[in-house]
Amino acid sequence: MRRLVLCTAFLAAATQVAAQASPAPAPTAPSTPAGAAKAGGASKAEFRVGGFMVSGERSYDFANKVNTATGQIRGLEVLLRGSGAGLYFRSLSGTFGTKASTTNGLQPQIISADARILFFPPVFTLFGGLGKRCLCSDLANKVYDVLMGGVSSTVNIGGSGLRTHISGAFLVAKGKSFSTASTIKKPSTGLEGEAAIFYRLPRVPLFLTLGYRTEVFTGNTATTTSPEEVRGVRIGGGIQFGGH
Amino acid sequence: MRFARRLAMSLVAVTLAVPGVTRAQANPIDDLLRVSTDAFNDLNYKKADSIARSVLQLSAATPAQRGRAQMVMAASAYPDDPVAQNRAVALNMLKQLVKVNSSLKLPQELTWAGLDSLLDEAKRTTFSLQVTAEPQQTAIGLDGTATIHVKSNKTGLFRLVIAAKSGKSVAVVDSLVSVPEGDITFKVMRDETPIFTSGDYAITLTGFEPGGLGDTVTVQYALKADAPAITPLTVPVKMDSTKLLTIRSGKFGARSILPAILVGGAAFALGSVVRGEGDIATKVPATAKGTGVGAVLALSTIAAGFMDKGRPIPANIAANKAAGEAFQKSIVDVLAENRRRITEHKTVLTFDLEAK
Repeated sequence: MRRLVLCTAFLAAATQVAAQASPAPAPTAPSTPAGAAKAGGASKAEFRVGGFMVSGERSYDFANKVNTATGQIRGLEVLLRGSGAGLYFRSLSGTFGTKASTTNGLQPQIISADARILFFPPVFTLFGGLGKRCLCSDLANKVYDVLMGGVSSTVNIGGSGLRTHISGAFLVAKGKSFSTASTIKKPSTGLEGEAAIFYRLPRVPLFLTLGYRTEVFTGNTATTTSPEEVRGVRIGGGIQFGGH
Repeated sequence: MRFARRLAMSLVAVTLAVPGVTRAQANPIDDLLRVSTDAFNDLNYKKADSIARSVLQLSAATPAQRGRAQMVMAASAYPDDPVAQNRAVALNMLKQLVKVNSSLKLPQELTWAGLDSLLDEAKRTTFSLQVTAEPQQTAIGLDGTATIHVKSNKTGLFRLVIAAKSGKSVAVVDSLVSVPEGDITFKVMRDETPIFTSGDYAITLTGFEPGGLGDTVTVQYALKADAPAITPLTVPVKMDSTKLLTIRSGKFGARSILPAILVGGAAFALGSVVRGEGDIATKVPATAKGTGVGAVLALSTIAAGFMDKGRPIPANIAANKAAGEAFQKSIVDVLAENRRRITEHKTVLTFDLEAK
């Protein structure tokens, strides 16, 4: 709970400050020919398709024993937004550890996909969405139907092509947790956060991204509690139209 | 002689004083010439000569009237009466007439065979010059021209000078060489500027007879020019930069520091503060990667902010481009208008070709 409050407060502060830094200044010309723009120049619409990779580690606590393994998550994301609303889709697939290793043992594969609806401008966006999250292994598949809500802030650093992006979301999963159904005692919850910069190349609609991503999730069943943590460096790139 | 002069003066004075008489009679000078001719026909050659000479002294006499007076004087100096003949005076007078009219014919009432022979001699021995032109000529634009036709009874050099009566500034100098007859055509614009301004000009045409003993004939005519000045529009040379819009927003600069701190701090927090539940938070150490990435993100953001040249403002760029194009068009339009004013400029020249 303390973490949730901390993250929410941080993001709220971030979006508040970013909102002050973001608006593009109006031109200072003393007179304005007909049809000239008064402000900005930023494109209000944005379409972005990109791939990314998170290189990091996953830790999980099972039976009071914490296991940590390094690995990668690969993902695809699609963003389509206007000035006041948008849609975001993402799918992830991550593998941590190796089968033969004793120090970096193979962990269940993480597969997730979600869709979100975005509200308000990029500089301060509230979003909500639905997704599925699966811990898949040869033994069993833990599938969670996840509801999520959060806030994000994307700030254009002038006309440099660089943008900062911060987002945080609260995840909650209801329903069955095991593939073999059992009664849920309390919902599974989690947090997801990202801090990244996006750099759009000049003259071509391509972007590169670098950031850090952390996801903590605690799966609860009637009998078990399974905390986990996935974090790592996020790099990626893709195609982007608009947004600057 | 004194009688003739008094008669001439009296006639002119009376005629001018009584407008009704002026209207009823053709012209007092014509009357003088008629009196003079009558005196010649009455064999009163001295009286005829005297009256004719008095006409030459009248400034109101037209070139035609002067020519007629000179004919009377020539006829009076060489009548069909050997006693009254003064061949040299008559020949000199006829030469003066022939100089400006090589096709001169004496009126039947003044001449006789001997005088006609003298006229032929005058024509043979006199270098004559005759000028004709369309009375009114309109020349348009850069290539607009006016033409004066020069005709002589001999091959010669003919030099044309047109000068303003006021100020004596020379407008046109041209010549015609080694021909007995030809056109002198001159342009009415020079260096895209009208040569003539509205006003009166004097045409002086001088003919030079070749050879050491060659004669020289100079005739003068009047010319009236109607040529309004060309007033060119001022070509804009510099665009008013105060009307140009800023094409980029202001530099982001130090404003990038806050987003940098936030994104860097967020990366740090995600690596160090946001931890899993249970033993994960205590048994798995916080990673330094978040801190490192956070530092990279923050520094990159700050660097981008300070390197930022401002966000292009497409609408303003387009507006400036349109303003530039409009400026260029205004130059083209002004040049075209100035060109039109030149090419369509009209000079109307009205020639008065009665020799002065």
